[in-house]
Amino acid sequence: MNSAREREVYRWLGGLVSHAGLWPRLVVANGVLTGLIIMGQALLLAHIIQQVVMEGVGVDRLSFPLVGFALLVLMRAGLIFLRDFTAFKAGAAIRVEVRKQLLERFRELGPVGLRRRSAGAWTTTVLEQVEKLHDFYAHYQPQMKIAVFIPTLIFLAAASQDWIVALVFAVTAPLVPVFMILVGRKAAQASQQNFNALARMGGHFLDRLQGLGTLKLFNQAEAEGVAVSRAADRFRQHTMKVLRLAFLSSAVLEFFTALSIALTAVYLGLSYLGHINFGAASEMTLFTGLFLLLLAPEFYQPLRDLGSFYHARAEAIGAGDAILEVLELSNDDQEEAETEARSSYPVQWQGARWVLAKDLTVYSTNTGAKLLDNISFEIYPGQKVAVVGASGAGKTTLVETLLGFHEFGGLLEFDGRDAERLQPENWRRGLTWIGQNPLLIQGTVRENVTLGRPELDDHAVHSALVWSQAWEFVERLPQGIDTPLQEEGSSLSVGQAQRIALARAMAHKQDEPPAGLFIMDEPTASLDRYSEARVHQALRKLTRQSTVFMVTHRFDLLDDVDTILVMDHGRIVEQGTLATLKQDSVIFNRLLAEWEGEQA
Amino acid sequence: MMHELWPFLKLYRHQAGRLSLGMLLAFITLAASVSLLALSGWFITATAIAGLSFATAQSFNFFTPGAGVRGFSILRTAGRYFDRLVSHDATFRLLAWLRTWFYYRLLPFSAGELSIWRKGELLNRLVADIDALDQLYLRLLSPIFVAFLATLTLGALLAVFNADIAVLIGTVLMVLLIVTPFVVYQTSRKPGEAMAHQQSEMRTRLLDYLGGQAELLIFDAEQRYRDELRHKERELLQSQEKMAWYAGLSQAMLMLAAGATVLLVMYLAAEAVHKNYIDGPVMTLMVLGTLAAFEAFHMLPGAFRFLGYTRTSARRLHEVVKTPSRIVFPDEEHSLPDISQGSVTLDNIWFRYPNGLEDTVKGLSLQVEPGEHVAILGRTGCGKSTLYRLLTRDWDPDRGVIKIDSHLLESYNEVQLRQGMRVVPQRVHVFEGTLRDNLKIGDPDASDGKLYQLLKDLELSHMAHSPQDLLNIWLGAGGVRLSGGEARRLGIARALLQPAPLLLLDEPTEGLDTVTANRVMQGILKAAEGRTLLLITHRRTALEHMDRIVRMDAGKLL
Repeated sequence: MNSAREREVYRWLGGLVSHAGLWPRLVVANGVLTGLIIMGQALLLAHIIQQVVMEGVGVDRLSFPLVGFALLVLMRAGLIFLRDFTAFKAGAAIRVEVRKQLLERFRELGPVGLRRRSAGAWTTTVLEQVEKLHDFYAHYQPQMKIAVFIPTLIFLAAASQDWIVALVFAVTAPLVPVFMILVGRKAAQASQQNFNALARMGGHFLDRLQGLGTLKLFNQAEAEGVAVSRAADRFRQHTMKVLRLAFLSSAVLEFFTALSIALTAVYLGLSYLGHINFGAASEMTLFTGLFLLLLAPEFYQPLRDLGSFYHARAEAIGAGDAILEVLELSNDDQEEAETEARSSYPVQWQGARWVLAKDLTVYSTNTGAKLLDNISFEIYPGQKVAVVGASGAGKTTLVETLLGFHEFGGLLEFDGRDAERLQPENWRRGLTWIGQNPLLIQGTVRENVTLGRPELDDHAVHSALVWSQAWEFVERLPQGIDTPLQEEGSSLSVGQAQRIALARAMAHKQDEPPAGLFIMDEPTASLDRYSEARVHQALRKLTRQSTVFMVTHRFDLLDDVDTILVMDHGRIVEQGTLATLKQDSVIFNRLLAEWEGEQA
Repeated sequence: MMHELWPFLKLYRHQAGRLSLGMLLAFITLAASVSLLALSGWFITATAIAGLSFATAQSFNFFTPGAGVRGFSILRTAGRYFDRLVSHDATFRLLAWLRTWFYYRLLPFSAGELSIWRKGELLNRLVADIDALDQLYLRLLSPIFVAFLATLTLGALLAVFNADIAVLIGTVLMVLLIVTPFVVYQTSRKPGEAMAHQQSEMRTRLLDYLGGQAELLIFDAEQRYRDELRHKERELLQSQEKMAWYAGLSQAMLMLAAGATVLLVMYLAAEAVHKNYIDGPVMTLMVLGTLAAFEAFHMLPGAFRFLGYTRTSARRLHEVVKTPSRIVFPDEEHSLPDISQGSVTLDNIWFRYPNGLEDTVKGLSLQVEPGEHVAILGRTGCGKSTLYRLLTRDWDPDRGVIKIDSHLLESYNEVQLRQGMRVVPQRVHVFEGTLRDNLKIGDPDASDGKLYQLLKDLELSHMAHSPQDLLNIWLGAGGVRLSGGEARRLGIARALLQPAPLLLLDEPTEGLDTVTANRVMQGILKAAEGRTLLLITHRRTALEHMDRIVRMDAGKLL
């Protein structure tokens, strides 16, 4: 990550704090109060020892300072408890907000936009990366402020007692900001390097595990094992080189803590003995001396704590970069302005739908390539339209555009309404889609069938499953329609999953008026021949009243289709009925011949 | 509990020296900082008393304690530095060890068995589990050890001056050392386990939500699903809040214990001073020493909150490594001749995937003669890829016999089988590394010239201008991403580098346009000359040169 990007991410992280409300401030207040209590404890401790050792006072007469000390311990324990709790609240509030923003972005990206990365990659961003922001807000940021307050307070307290000791602090005090930067740079660099090395190592290892099957096929698995350990060793050597330097920064803080204790002790001791006659120490009591000695390590403690939270900063910046990258993704910059203009009133579609497309053009959001090139067609209510074409001709993109998953140029109308002025949910009302690769959610057969309509009863689920030819295997499942379908272990074949998906489409529509528009993308491509024929029969019955838009490669099922659209390279190159196309088309006849060849 | 962690703790003996040194250094650092504060306190108290009269002030030997103070401060600084250095180095070494160990433990599993783990991000989780074990030392072992030693040392130090106080404080600290871990572990175990469960539930929900966007939108379930996700997140946060609550509570308890102990020492020491059992300076030493020693206990609650998580990780890894592989190869020493002809016999093969609902391959029989080129044509889901997996022994059939060169498939050892059969899987794994590294998996000794020629034959040479630049292209995460068709051709190149008597290709031309597919097929046929070729595909592109085309549907040949 370059430093400009790092600053950008850091600014974004800083901007999020407002979502945490009062919590971060409470964490800071807690830290400052704790500092005051520590000073109070030092005061009482020094007082008690002074009384016992120097004045010969018995314990029985010290109950007041002893009880005071006990009270301060109680208060400090209470503050520690509250600190963890408030810090959690601060971090949690931010995580909730960022997750909300991410989910919002996912919805805007839609099914097509989400294809840019695997679902696993998105999930890692939402779960792991967002978690990594927590410590930044819970600990690092508040500590930044605490590390300014506490040393200032301690310096003032020391100055009120003895200027020499204050001087020891003061000489190092201007160094503190310097060390803040030094420690900041070096420690941040160290934890960043450490973090990067671990991430890279993890990535390398995971990569080899994922490819283990391949390595075995080529007899390379044993050899690669050596490489895995060598790679880990290389990473170690490289990282240690950086860390060796970087640990110096924490050693320096340690050194200052130790040095200030040692200097204070030696100075005080020599003054008590009368070897030093300047400063206030010659008249100083043991009480003041002990008080100052106890403060010395506390002066640097907040900075040392800050150092231990530096990994949180490095992690947050790394994670923030990944998150921001997702949030910056967009399908179209003008989208928001357009949304404003969309009609939000529910639209009542009646019966079969009428579709009109004029000069429809779609570009790939990834590569900018033209996916659909000036497509125009019209489908009258109740018409059955088939789309054919070689793979990569743009059939699926056309289907996705009709479903509202692509930004497009040109005109698309449903029943005379401009699709671009429709809210997405209005657009999709009364429309049913059966895709190529059905997705089954984690859940039971029933949950998969009733997706979107949780109110459906057993009878409805059963009849949908019978209709889609799925009942024959669902029936044999251990818990029938309430059997969970597990992802791990792949219990369903592709064909079986497709049949459940068909049942879902059926259940979604069955007791409503017939769907206005049925969009199908090779719905039976992964069924065996026997099931395919039966599903086709059922589909035909179901869609009798509807407008049908079907992508297919089955040329033997084109007989009862009203219009065939032939696609090639993102365009509709030929269109007509089966009879006319057979007579005088080039591409259609070529596709037909290829298909017939395959059937031979 | 221990039996889950034990196998992993045992692995630590490989780094025992460094790990012990790290702990020792951590202890020295702590001891130095306790000594520094205690000695400083003793010193100023003693000088304050001596300073009361001129004579004692003059005769006071301040050189020895002065040197001690300087020495401890240097020791503390150096100790901290080397502690961090040594413990990080040891952790990195452990990491390398654990990973290599786990890698070799996974080796016996077949590609088919491994692919089940690849699904559902299980493999990612296992890697995270190993990371958790790496931390076991730094976050668990070292703090416990240091706290234990600190208790002993403080006890010994106090005993020099007053045995009664030493025994009392030593006992209090020991009890604390035993009780704290127990309480922390017990209270945080439940929310910790709930957290792990909720996390994985949220992950599956999220995967569904993202993968099923289209379905959820069309079936009007997107909002409901998103609400459910928010709900899961709230549940997870509640568990985390409970954990934070317990964490705060345990820290607060520890602070109370520390405060109470210091108070107790102060009270007892004051009394002892009063009764002249000890000197005044010794009282300061005791109080300040105890105060500083508690630094050793601050890491303890964190360590034991972490234990529940580590235990789960250890259990998961343990389950994986102790599962026996179902596919077993005979030993290397074997008198069976190597595969030389490449004839394949499949006789009435039946196969069902683990957890599968029905058989994927149903009584399939096929005879392929040596040198014959056969295409197996069928649509998605007909079982043709399963056939590939049975031939590579990713899985073994439930019933039926597979023979190569008239010997049973399972009688070849793994090296023989892999050498006798080159394959192109449907999913080609592109490794992080250069294109050269990726190709050399097929033949580690291949020359650059040979690699380049093959890339040219497969129309992959367009990615760079010079052969060196081309072979040095970095692939995988952080490098050039190959398209599906390019990755496929990379897989073909791997297989063709050292052609074997039997070539087995699963959908080699998927994702290629017709023209490229034709050329790639020509390359394959050239390399397959005189060898047996089994081509599994759903496309008819360039099949005219095959000797025979068989069609497959519903797990059988038609």
